[in-house]
Amino acid sequence: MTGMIRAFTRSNRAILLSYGCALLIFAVITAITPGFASGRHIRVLLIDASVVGLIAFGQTLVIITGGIDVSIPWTVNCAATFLTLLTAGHDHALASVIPLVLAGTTFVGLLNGLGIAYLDIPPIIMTLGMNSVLLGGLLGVTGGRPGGQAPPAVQWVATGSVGFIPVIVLVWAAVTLAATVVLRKTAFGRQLYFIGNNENVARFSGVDVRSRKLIVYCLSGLTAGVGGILLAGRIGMSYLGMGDPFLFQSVIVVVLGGASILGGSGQYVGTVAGAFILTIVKGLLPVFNIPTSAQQVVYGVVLFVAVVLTSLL
Amino acid sequence: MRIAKLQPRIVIPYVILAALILSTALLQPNTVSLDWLGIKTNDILPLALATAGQTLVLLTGGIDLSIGGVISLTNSLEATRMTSGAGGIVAFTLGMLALGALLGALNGILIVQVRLQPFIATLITWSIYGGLALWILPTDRGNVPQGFINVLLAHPGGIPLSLVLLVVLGMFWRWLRRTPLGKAILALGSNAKSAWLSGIDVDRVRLAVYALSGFFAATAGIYRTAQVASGSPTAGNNFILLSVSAAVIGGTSLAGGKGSLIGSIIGVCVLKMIGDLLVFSGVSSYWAALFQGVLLIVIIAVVSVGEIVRRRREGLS
Repeated sequence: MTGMIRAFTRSNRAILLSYGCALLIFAVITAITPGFASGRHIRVLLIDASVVGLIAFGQTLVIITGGIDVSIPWTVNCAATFLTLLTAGHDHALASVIPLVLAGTTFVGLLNGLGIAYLDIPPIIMTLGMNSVLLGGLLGVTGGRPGGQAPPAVQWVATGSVGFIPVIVLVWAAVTLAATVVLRKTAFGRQLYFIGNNENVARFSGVDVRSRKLIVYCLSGLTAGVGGILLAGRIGMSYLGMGDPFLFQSVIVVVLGGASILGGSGQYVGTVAGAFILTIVKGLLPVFNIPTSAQQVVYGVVLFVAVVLTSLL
Repeated sequence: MRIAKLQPRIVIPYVILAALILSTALLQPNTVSLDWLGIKTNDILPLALATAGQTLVLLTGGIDLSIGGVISLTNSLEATRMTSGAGGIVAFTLGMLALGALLGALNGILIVQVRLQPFIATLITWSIYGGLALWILPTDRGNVPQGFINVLLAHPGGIPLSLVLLVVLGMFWRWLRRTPLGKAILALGSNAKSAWLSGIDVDRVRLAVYALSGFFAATAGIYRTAQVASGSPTAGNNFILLSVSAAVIGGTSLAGGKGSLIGSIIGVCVLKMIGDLLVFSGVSSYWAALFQGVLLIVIIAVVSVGEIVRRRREGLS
């Protein structure tokens, strides 16, 4: 039994460390800030962590394969805007609008995947270009006007509760469970690590590297779409630029979760810890009177520390 | 040598630019003039400067995303902190150039000493530098001394200063190419290992290239301040994508080792001319980012497919 525990700790050192960090930061802040650990505030923190965690789902898989997806910000923004525009704030069209929006964002991921896997375009360039395409496309379609209200049902999923547990946290827990099973127990999951560790070896060992990458970028588009819809529900509306913070945030939570930016390692459970750390640190900024405008500096520093620490582990 | 000069990679940008100028001259016969040239070179210069730095980085096989942050930061500082006296303007602007080189060198240190990949190192610093710009100047505004604007947008002897600076930039490349540093940059991009084996101090070359990129980004930020007479904390973000596009259009390879600054300047001209043609044909400026993104993806895809085909053919023969 102790042997099993030791083996578990050894193979999950980075992830356990992430959870340890999250708990430690939370404990310290709770000690110095009255009200930080109130039930109400914890609920808000959990919801915010779920949104960024779900948005970063695809980014986790992409980074495991050694890629990166910087088209997430405007994929999120497109999903949120089209949700609010097409439903006009009502529930009755949701059954057709949500599949349509998710099909759209998955298609964005498909194009990224085609460019990266089949045309050998570097991921950073392909997704940077795609981000610009989506930005220009959304500005052109909306004429620069904000989208409107999110339908009540979506707002309920993003901010409502079943009993005392937020709905979105239940969704997130289910996704985490599924992701962990897929990454650890299926051939597909193992192949992603294989590709991230050494693409050529993976190819010569018979892994269909291209199709795997294609699927991963499609998933990234899909989960950015899901995240965008939930973000609109969380805020209650959509506006242009709402996805921008997720360029850095989606990468930060993955790396904070112990994944190497070089690929080949990482777990979605780690990203979950990363989402907790990021959300707590974000909640910390007002406590230290750091203006929101300076958030991005903090993100950069946190990303740096996380990248260096993960490379040392 | 003569045959090497006629590679399609080098010739195509000139052909495209000539075609674009010709079509502009045909569509808007009254616009092409010396004044027009002045307006165009003013328009082109900031991106040309930023692209010059990006090209040097691409030549070593790296990428610099942080130029977005450096341009935003220098633009924001120039538009809010510069005093209006002549001495103050000169001292402050020189300070900005030093700051740019320093911020660039910091990228180099992250890549050389901390051993981060260029894209992640410069993603980190893009976030930090851009965040500093937002801290200094939360919204678009600014107060730029008129004397500063007058000097940078001047036309000494009827020739726009921006055109002179573009020519200087081209000459800088012709000079750099022949120096040990220039040769080392190209060698490093072609094959880092053999560059190292042949005694090149690879780390120092990388450091120099990122410092230069930061310096050039600062010049772009400074010139943009004069051009727009205002500051924006997000002004630089657009430059990241456009600088890579311009360099690739100009024949620079993303894998490193191949390309030139002069090609990049031509690439910038091509990008701007395409933008003008879109405006002329009545496309709303809201769509601009869409075309810029599509253009980048299409160009890289074409280059990439060409490369795949070439590799296959060589593999077969």
